[in-house]
Amino acid sequence: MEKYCAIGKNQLRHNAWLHILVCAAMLLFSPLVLGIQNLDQVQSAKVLETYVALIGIILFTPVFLPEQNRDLRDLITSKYTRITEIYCIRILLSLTAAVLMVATYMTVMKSGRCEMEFGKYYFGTMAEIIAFGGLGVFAYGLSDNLIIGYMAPLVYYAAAIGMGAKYLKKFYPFGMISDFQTKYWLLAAGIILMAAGVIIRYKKS
Amino acid sequence: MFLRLFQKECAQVGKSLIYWLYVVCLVVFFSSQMGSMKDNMLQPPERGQDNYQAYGFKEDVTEQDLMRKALGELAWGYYYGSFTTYPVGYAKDVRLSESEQEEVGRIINETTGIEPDKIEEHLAAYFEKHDVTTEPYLIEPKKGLTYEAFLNEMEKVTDMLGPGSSFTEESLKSETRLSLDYEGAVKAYENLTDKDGYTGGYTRLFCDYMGIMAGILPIFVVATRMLRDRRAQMQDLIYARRASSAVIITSRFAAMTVMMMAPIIILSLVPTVDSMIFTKGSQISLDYLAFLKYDFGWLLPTVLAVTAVGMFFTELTDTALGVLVQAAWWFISLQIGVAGIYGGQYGWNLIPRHNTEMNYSGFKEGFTQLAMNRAFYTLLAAALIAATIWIYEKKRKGHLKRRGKILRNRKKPTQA
Repeated sequence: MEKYCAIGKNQLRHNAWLHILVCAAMLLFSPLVLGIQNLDQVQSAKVLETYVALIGIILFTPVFLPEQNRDLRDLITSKYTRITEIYCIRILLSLTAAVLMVATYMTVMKSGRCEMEFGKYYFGTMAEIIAFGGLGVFAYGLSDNLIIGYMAPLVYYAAAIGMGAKYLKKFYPFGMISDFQTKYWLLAAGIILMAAGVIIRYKKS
Repeated sequence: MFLRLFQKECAQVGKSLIYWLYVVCLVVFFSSQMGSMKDNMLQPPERGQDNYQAYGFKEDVTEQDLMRKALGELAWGYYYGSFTTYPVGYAKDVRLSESEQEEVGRIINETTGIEPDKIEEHLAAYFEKHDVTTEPYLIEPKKGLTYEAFLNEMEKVTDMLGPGSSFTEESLKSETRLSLDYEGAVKAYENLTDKDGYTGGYTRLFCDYMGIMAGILPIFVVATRMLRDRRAQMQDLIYARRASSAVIITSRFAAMTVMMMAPIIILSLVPTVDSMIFTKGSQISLDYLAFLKYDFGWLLPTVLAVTAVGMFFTELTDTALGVLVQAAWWFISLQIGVAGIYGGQYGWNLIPRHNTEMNYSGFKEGFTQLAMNRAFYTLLAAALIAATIWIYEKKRKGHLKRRGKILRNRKKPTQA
């Protein structure tokens, strides 16, 4: 356990802090450009689905970044601790950060008299965050290229805006109001993709 | 030297996986948005059609129409004590201070003649006659109120509400959309066939969709290419070559722009060919070169700017920061663009919107602004490339280079 705590601490100190900081700034400064008070259900869902959920791309995608350098990766894989365990700790850290940030943001929205079913909207937003993150982790793991990792979820996001539910069907990410079933599909896809990304990366190492 | 490097860079880009992902994304996006365009191209309107929505909206919205709508909205917001603005496409609830609320009350009185404390009565009387769920609240302006005086007062309201207010003239015009009748539809169709050469309208629609992709996709290719040298640890080897920094960077920039534009130009042939097939046998005189004018005039500046942003930030930081910067810029541009999606209001947006093959008159009216917008992004790209050359040159001389991080190597050679 001590070992895992040390890994987590190092990840926070050397890598994750920057991504958490960017996400926190993104959410903290959002009231300057978008309203988080007195929104109706549709407007609240729009803020959460199209803005807040983007933190998934920033938090999860760079999970393999510390071992971008091939020599460093070889060194880490030669150690006793399995590299997949390190990846899982990183993912859990990102997940914890997302859970806390979304909860705080939604509490602020709720206290600003925004209409929403807290539990339902929370689940929907987290499912989308995990889907964006999972897609990023998978693309990064497969290509060994961080930029492709960012590209995949961003293109998916753009496709969702451009094509809508007609083409993406169960994987339409903005279905909080129109079809909540999509959120279960997104969550499942996100988890599968994230696991696949880690496994692919492990196999490649 | 330049040409040799340009060819090499083109070959490098052409061989990279991410470039082909870029091409696939463009093709898929195009197919999903405009793939079935041939089946939906516009026929001349027929008298007695159910509606003429496909031909656009009424262009001759009167100043009275605008004033009625704005004053109704103002009184509604005043009565409920809150106004909705859209600074970047998202609704924002704005509540005014007591003194500002008083000022709005004075403006309502000045422009409509209604005392602020009588608004409730007016509202109730209005919605006794009109359906509250389907009809907007309209108030007749006070007799003798000129359009200029009205705009002056609305400017004061906009100052209080901040960005995204719906009381600017542009916003009022874009939101006051009235349906066309048969004559209006005929006129709009004639604009498309006579003034726009038919292909012009469809190529503009193509630019609208492709602009969304051109505003983000090139950054991935550029950042990957720029980081490649570092990843392969080839930087020092390239630094030692004879070619000047300006030649290396400009040849890379030119190659990436050409490679990025190539699939866009090829795809833009589709609307032209579809128009040719669809209008075969008719008297419509097509503008066969519209695709080139729009590709270079409308989309190229976007590609130039995104490519330059990618090169600049990647060279500056040796990280993928450019991707995040561009993603943020793209996101904001996209959200802001929603307000002017019907075209004619191009502003300074990186991704000008015109999501219709119609509205030629809007395009004509906004053309000067669009031209200035496009010129600005071309100049911005040139400035960023000049800055990239400067940074590259500094790194090459060892001034800014230390594990790729700028400003770390502050020690003078003597101290080192």
